[in-house]
Amino acid sequence: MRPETLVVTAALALAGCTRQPIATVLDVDAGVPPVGNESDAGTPVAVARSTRNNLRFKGPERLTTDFAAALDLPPAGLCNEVGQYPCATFVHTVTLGGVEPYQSGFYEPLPVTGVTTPIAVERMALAGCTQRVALDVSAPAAAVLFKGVGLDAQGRLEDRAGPPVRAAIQALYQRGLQRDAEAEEVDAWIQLAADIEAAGGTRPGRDWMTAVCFAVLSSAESVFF
Amino acid sequence: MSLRKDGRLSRRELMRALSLCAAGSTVLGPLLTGCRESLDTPDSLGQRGGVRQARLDGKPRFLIVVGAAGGASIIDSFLAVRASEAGPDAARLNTFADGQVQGVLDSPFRAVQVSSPRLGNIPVPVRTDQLPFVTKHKASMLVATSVGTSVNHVIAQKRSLTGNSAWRGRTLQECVALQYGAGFPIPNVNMGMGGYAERGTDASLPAHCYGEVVTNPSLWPLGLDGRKGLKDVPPEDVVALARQTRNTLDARSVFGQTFENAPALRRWNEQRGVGQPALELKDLINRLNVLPDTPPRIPLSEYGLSSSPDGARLRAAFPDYFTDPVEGQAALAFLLLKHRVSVTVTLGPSFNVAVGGETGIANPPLAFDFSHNDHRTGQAFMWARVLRVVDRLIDLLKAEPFDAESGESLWDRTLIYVATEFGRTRPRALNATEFGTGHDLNNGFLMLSPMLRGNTVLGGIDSRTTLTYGFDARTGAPAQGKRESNEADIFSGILTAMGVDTSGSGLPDASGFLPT
Repeated sequence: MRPETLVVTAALALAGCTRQPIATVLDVDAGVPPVGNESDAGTPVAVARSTRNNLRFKGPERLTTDFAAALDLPPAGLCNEVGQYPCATFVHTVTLGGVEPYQSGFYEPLPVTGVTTPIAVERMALAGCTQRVALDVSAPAAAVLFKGVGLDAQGRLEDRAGPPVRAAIQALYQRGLQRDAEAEEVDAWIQLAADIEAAGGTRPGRDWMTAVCFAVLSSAESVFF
Repeated sequence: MSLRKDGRLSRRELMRALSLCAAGSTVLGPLLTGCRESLDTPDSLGQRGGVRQARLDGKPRFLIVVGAAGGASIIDSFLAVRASEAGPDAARLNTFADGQVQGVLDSPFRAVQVSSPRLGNIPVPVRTDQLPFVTKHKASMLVATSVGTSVNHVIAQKRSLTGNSAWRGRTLQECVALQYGAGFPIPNVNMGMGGYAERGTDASLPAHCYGEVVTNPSLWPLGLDGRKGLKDVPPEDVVALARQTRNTLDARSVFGQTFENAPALRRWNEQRGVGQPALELKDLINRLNVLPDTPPRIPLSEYGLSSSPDGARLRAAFPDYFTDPVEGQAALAFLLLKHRVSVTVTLGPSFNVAVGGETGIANPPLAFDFSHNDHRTGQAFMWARVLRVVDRLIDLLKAEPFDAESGESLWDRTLIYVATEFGRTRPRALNATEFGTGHDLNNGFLMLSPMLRGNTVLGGIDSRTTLTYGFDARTGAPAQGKRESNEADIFSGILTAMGVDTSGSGLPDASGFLPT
């Protein structure tokens, strides 16, 4: 190889390192078929990754109304810190992407989520789900989510993989995410019930109800649009 | 290695040449860089822009920014002018009766005393004296005169933190978070208002550098754990299992795959997967909680929570922590530094009225900008308010050990910067003691730290006009007649004292801020 050829080759190689792709048409990880992306025939279908990636965080008002609607709870009672300070409209407003013009002169929402935002979301979801589960367990006839889900004497789900549990998961997805749960998702939540029982808590069935509700409402799909 | 007769390298020679290049760049790079750095002089560095700091000791330094909203006038505090010094215009300029301006022993600073039966048109008495503060803290005080570039509140607030975009639009807090904050859960906490709470414009910084905005300091710690403090919730291990399943399904869902590359989702996953556990692990929901357990108003124990072990001490130092936002902010600021949650904290009064304190008014409307209504009492009241909080913070920081080996206190590694938008106009009606003022670019900034050139005024004041003049940022020498904007000097001076490496930034050498 001539030295000048070496120089030219090196220069081209360096230029190649910084070259950006012109466009990405379809970017599919063939090894891991995504959940909930199957054709009618049951074969996995490729997911076209978003090229715009213009995701928006819901913010305090949307989160409150969406969670309250999903859980059939009054928005004002959804989450109150130490029982009296509203999470979304007072304590965590700015953290959740809201504004606070009067006290802090904070007129525009933060452009991105902060490190405490996922925590505030979890608190809202957990506070709301706890209330919903308490209502559903105490008044099964009027249950919104966990209709017909029975508990045995040890506080476990009577039938972890039975129709009432599956129906409850579907109800949760319908009310929280406006879609059906995929088979793999249902299986994962049923497995969670087994894991919770194995952990040896005193009321595993009720904890599972709260846990699955909390997890679905605080999922990324639930808090972005 | 040799070129063959046809002028080409063999494959073996080619590989050897490339290996030598790689090894050479690895070994010689730092050596040559070191040689070049050793040739740097202060002048050459100044010409190239920025100051290379000595190798850091690996320990963080802390920056507290107090946003003195509304325009804290330096000639109503440490550079006040006596009427007898101002010549023929004394009665028409903002000068004080001689007895109100006190000299401070062995110090270039002055201290103002004001006594008035009312605060403008608010019927609360104003009796303030800055002398105890200056006497106590003069050794760590530095006042740098300034000329800004905006008399718009929000713009000037932000420029006081960015040096008017002196370094790619970064704020001081972002620079400090970049330098020291990588291992801290929330390096930059911002409780300020308006422009003091805004982000800088350099979007290239790591996410942890940007400020986490806090608007309700007393209740904010309740949002530092996803589970604690909620009634009737599943145990910790159950919530952990639920999170694990959720995160797995999130990543595999159509939504997760479709938006896998979305910055918002990537950030979210990092915040949820890395940031949140770091916060929860430190039990900050309790350790940062200044609130006492006082049911039914604040029923902490009913919700499984407790007050910070420092709670009683902080409530004594800042008794109005729940009703006066600044006191609540100061208490939280101390805990954030003490527990190594943050390296920089921003606080300060807002433009809103706050009730509380001895007179019933903790904060007048518009804070320092109340000077439009009544300059003298407004400035006196607000300076007293700011200095009181700063004084208590310093006391707390001094009492807090930082490093047992070196014997340093937290205060030894902290700098408090009292930022403000601008000064106030100087004219007044003949001999008026009650008068309103507007916004003026000419002013000065107060900073306090053992890391600063203490007991020092950089620049000075022309007593005939009550306007400040500038200084040479590198030497600290006064420059009478210098009235140009020096926002970059102030910005660079603070970063220099904080030990932030500014090499390549284009910032002026501001070694004049450092102890001699």
